[in-house]
Amino acid sequence: MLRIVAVPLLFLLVGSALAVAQGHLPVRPGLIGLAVMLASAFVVRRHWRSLHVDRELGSPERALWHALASRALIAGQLLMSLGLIGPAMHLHSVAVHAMAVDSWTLVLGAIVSFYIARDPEPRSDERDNAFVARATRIAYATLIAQLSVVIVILSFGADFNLPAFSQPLIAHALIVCLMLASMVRSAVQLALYHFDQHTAFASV
Amino acid sequence: MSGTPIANHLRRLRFDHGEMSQDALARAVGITRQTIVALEGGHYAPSLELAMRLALVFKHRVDEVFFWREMPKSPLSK
Repeated sequence: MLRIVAVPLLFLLVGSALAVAQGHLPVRPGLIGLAVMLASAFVVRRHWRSLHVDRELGSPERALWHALASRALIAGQLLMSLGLIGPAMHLHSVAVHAMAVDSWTLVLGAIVSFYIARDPEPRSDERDNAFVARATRIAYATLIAQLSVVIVILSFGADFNLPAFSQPLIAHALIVCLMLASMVRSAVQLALYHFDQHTAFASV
Repeated sequence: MSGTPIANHLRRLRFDHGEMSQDALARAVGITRQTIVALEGGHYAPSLELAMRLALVFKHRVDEVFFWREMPKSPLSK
């Protein structure tokens, strides 16, 4: 259960570190992030193959762990980059172009690492669909909560003496909201699997 | 998903049918082994379609495979 919180936090930190390292490294931080994703995918694939049949993960769980980690890394990089660039973000600037190149490199890493880590024989059924439905409801509520905060900030920002946000910044903030809601969905669904498995082993 | 009022004889039936593995039964009905574990643990109630497919594998009726732990009160009986 602790892993469901620790893994996204770790990858959020890695993503943030990549954004901070922008311009201070001999290689693009996006490429380092891509290498981290591929290496992690090979490690977890090996680990999942070594698990005993009673403890092996189902196809949806594997996909969820991958989604949680990769989205946390991309969200971390994006969030920290937005923070460093500031509210007056201009789309066609050196900093935003660098952020975009790194972000899309990380997206490429997420796609490739998914194919490395995925179950070679994917299977899911009605129980998985039931978990998806419950997790999606919570993710939807999370998205609504985030959008409410964004609406309040945009509406009353001037009253709180907040600086004016540029349109590209608002667009990227909304992307982050979608990514966080998606991460919540993955985390909740993994928690449901965890509790279900825990109950199953307790009752055997 | 825990503590469904419906239990089943899946584990016994698997053993009666040549010690069929959970994975073999899961593949026979097109579900995951994890769902068989959940069903045998008695904390997942399957859909009617899945219950019928499971019963078909063992050539039993649905009510011979699945049963109420405790018979619920009928809403009509007062």
